[in-house]
Amino acid sequence: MINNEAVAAVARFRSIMAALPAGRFASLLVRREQGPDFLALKIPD
Amino acid sequence: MRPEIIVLALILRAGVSTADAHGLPDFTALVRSNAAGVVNISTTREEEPSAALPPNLDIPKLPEDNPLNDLLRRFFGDRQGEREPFRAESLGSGFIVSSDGYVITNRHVVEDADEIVVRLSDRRELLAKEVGHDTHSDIALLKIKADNLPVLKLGSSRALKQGEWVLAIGSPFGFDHSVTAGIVSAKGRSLPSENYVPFIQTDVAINPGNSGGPLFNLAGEVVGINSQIFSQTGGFMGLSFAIPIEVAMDVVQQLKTDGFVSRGWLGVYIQAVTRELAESFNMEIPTGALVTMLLPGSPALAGDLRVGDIILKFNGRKVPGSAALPPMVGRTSAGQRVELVILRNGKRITRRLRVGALPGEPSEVSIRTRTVAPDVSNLVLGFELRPLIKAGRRGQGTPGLRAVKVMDSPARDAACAGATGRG
Repeated sequence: MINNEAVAAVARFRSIMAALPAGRFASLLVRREQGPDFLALKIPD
Repeated sequence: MRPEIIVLALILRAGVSTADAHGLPDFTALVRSNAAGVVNISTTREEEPSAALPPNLDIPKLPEDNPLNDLLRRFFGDRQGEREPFRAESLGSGFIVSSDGYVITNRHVVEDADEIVVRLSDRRELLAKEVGHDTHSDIALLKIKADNLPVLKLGSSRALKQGEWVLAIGSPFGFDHSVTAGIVSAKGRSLPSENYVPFIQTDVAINPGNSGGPLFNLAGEVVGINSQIFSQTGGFMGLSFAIPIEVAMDVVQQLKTDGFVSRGWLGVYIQAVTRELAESFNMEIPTGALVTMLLPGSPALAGDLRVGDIILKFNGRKVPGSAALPPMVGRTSAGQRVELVILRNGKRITRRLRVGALPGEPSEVSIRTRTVAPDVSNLVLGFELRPLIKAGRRGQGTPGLRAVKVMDSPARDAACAGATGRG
């Protein structure tokens, strides 16, 4: 999930990433062994 | 030259008189009136020796002058495998809340005790019975057979202010009725061991043996129960944590009437909203509790909460941070209908749901992912990604991708999520 949008395929991940505004943070939901976590990912300028 | 000196002298005098007017608090009357309601608690329990060798094993026969012999004898003794059980003792504090003998202390003070002895301020020693305990809040309720006992007056931790003077009476290292003072450093602290307790942080000197003792305000009212310290050495370092008296008395009331403690439950996993996450969610300031997972069959799932929702208000009360939510939910009665204000996709919405009852420890459902040889891989912002073939889903899962490699990149920088707790 990126910015609350579910990601089912790598191609979708790429298209969402490409559309993210540069210089801002995007939220990324990742699942880890200890449970899910949202990470804040800075999109490079 | 002289006038300047006079002016300076006047300012200094003014400073002194202000200090005189406010003064430092005098705790003597408070201690005199309340020390009798504080008790020393000692426990004993039989412990099995853990270091003994199994009966069919023996320590190796080494030459007498071998230095390893000392080490082996130290751990296993001369009669390996035949060590007797021994009696372990521990000390703590507590306080009397009813003249007919109800005593409150910490659960960890009396945990697994075979015998609990309460020593009163008049040196009487009485056997105590555990009425009940609550592990989530670390509270235990004891009963001693006695009448006309001195009872401490209970206050309100809600009225406590940061910077306010507070005082502890307890038995650090067994030195009973020791008095220490300090100020309220912070309120609403969350500690990993007890999610449902919004701790009062103080700088009152608390040491092993103080646990279970009362924290007083300047009016001589009990506002908390000294329970934990943060320490890297085992001793006091200026960070003490007390359970708010309202939380403790709610637990005590339930233990008295029901024999157990029931807590409200939403069935969500939450995490803190950091400044960076707040920006990603288009929030002006970081606030609320971010939902990361919904448990199957949970009230949250039934109430249409979703992963990525930020809970801003719980039944009319603001949720300033993720740590504030579990105590709010925990103190809500199971079955009660509540209203949640949520931020979802940048919009504030309201959801109403019925709070459930906190089950025992949530069942552990591990996430297992299995990947086959990738047919797609990619590199975006330092991730190497592959499709997720099968994921054991915890609660309401969503399909996703598996990061198989993270390079030096924004992705690596982002790997600093907040702590996760249960709500």
